[in-house]
Amino acid sequence: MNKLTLLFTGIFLTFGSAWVGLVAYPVANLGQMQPLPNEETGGVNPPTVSGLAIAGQKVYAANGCMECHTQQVRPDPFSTDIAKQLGKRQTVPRDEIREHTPFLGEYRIGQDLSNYGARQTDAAAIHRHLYSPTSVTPWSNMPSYSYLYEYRKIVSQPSAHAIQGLTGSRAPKPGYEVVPTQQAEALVAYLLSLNQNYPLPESPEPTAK
Amino acid sequence: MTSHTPSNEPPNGESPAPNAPVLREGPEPSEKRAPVPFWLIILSAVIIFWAGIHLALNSGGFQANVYNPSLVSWSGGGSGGPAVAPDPKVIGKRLFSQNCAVCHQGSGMGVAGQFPPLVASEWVVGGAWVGDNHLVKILLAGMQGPVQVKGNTYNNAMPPWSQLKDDQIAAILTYIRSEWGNAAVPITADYVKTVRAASGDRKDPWTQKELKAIPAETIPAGGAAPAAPAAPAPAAPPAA
Amino acid sequence: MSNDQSSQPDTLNSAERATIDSSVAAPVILFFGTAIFWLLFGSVFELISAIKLVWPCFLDGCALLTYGRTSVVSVNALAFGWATPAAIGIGLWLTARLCRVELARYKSLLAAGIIWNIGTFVGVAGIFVGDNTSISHLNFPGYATHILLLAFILIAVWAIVTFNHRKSGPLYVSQWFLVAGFFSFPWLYATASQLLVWNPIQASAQPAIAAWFAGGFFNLWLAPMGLAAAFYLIPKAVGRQINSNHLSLVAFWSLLLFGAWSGTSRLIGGPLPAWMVSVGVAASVMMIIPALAVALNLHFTLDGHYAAMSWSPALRFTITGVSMLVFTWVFTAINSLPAVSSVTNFSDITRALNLLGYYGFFSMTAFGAIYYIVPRLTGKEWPSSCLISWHFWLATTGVLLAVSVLILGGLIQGFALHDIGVTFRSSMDFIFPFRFVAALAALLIVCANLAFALVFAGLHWSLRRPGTAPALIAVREENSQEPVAV
Repeated sequence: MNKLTLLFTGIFLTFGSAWVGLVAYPVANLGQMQPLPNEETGGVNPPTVSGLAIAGQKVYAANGCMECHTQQVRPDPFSTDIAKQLGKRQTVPRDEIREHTPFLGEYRIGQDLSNYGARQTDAAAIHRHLYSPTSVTPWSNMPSYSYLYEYRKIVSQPSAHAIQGLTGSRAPKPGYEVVPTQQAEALVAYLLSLNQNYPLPESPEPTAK
Repeated sequence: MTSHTPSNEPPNGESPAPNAPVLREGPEPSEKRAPVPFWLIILSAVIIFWAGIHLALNSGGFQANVYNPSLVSWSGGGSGGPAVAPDPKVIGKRLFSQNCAVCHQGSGMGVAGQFPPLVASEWVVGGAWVGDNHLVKILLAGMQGPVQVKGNTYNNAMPPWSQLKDDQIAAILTYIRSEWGNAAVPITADYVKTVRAASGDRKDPWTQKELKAIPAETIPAGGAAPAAPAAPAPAAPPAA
Repeated sequence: MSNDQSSQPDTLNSAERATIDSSVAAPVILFFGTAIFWLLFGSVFELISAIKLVWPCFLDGCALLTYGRTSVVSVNALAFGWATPAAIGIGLWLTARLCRVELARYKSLLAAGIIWNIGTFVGVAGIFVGDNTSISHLNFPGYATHILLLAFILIAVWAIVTFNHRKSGPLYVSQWFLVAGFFSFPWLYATASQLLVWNPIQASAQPAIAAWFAGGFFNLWLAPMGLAAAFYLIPKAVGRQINSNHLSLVAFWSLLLFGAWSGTSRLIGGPLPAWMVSVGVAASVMMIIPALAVALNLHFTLDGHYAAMSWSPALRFTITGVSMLVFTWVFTAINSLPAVSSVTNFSDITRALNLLGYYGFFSMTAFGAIYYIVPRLTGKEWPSSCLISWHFWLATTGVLLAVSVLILGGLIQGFALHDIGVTFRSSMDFIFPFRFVAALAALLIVCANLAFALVFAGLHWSLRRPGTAPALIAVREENSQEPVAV
């Protein structure tokens, strides 16, 4: 019996050490981060995002976008992310505070999205890409998210929200239109909000060589 | 005890008859006590040593707000260049308050009639015949007897501070020469070392008379000797 | 045989074994049977996901079957539908056997098994309908996590009671691993669920905890349970003692300490304080120590007796599985070095190492244990040695093929992702043929699992009369000295 106590104590201590270091420590040290004031705009860094963009996080999670897309810019000189213009600086914990869950990702089956909203500011283009990736980028290996859109017959007059400029095999037939659902609108709002191009003191931009 | 297994076991209460797979089983396992191979111990030690080095070099000083280990590290390596030495004035201020402020006061004004002031004192920033070498000598061996400071005469004794290291003395002097409106060039640790060597092993406190006999030296504004890496006093003169 | 001799290693006689076995049979068979269903389910979705990586238009445009859901479903069905129940089933039987205790209340365990499967079903359904939490290995929505944890508490209570009533004296190495596993899993799962799913803390603190959980789930839950089985089955099947108690001690404590800290190495370069990553890297590299200690200990135990692998299904699967665990830890150590991970990070090498660990090690070891345990519980022999042989070769070929092509392809992809002069499109083009072969390998794995399910179902539907000779997958040499303890 004595030996079981010893064994149990040993397991408790080894497991507990990592629990303190890797669970309690981040809760205490990273769990109450505040945005920093932005003196230029009078706002904060990271900036607040719209409610629609926050709803879009749920759509992003539900469809497992994280399975293929990372959202982390790794620092120099460990990686070449900054040289590849995925972002201007390393992603740090304060960048995540608007998120419900940080979508860091493990695979770059698709491109990194940390600063997608800085590269792509046109909502209609994102809708086209989500609805029919290969008609925008022929070599894309992204599946279509057409189920987030409604393909319907135009009744009386076309919807103001319908996606314009669809080409290729998924283009709507004459008299039909493709209208984003609320989910698609939220997802696009979220993607547009992905932008880490604001300064944070703990993440200096690497100086040009 | 009821068994739900669909096997050919007897009903409740009796021990089931051992089936064929159970009957052909070997004994319950146990362990021998062969020693751990020596090479495994050595290899483990090497791996653990490597892990320790890795931790020291890549942990950003174990701070919660360092996310890129190449910016801050214990080794001072990485893209950040050599480790930044602490500001010598900060060290000097701490040493001053620990050792000197009792008499000369934190304000550097001293106590009228007892302890001479350091602010704008010719002994600190240099005067007609007082040089930087005198200042260092006083710190190393102390001073006693009447002394004229800013026109007032004081008659007291200052103990020697030779137990402080060269860089500590340099830090204190650099501090008092740049604080309270004083603006003399910093004293380097190398200069203190030079003066200490020139004084030999003198332990007796100086008198004003003795010091006056020694010609004044001034530490060149550019820094007489290049500061050693450990020296807290920067080699370059401060902009202020 | 009386209890006063219980400190002797082999006082457990056949009658006692039979009594103990029959007392745990129902829940263990329940856990195994449902686990095999989820194994098939998960591997089919793994195949679908692998095909989708090659042909994105495969089953396209359907919300339920988008890649982001099928791959998450496969990972979680395999982790919580297959691996965890299989580990629990193995753990229940080993605990009862090693503690020499008849199971007092098997109904609570049956309830736990049923509740667990309801939880898994609810979780998988939750992912399909869009309640994926998007946290690796914790994708089940919160309402499913509660159910799973409830089921595990029943099991943990049983395990504590059993260990307290144990009859044997000194604890055997498998018992250390069992205690570690049964202790770690609820702590890991409850902590991670509470802080990430039920009442999520601020997202800035979440990545470290998610990485801690993902590392702990493998190194502190599946690995100890698999090793408990290996350290029990291997010496029994070849009729030898484990070579060295000291090596077992080294393996156990180094696994616990380094395994607990190793998770954060996967977040290198990520938004995490630098020291947390470097601790993870250091711990992952130090996992070479338990890897070598396990490998040497079992090798010295088996030395000269490897021939038994050729006819004993249990031994063949278990030894293959443990070898792959050793490779998993060594490869993970290499892959954690910053110089390596700066290239391989985010590439398909991560997929390869997950496959090697979860399927190559854990599933293979669990197959071996199930091949050993179930005939004892049911009194029936496996119906077809031919199918078992197919199972082994399909599974081994599948996992080794997938792992090798994904490591090779992942290296090329990683260099393309790392090189400033290479476009992202090139990284996709380079990896394509390797993903194609990996999809074929996923098909082999599905076939292997199907063969296993058929063997298991055949045993239960009595396709072969009880009491016949054991199913050996190769003819045993007549003059062999080895026991037929399969």
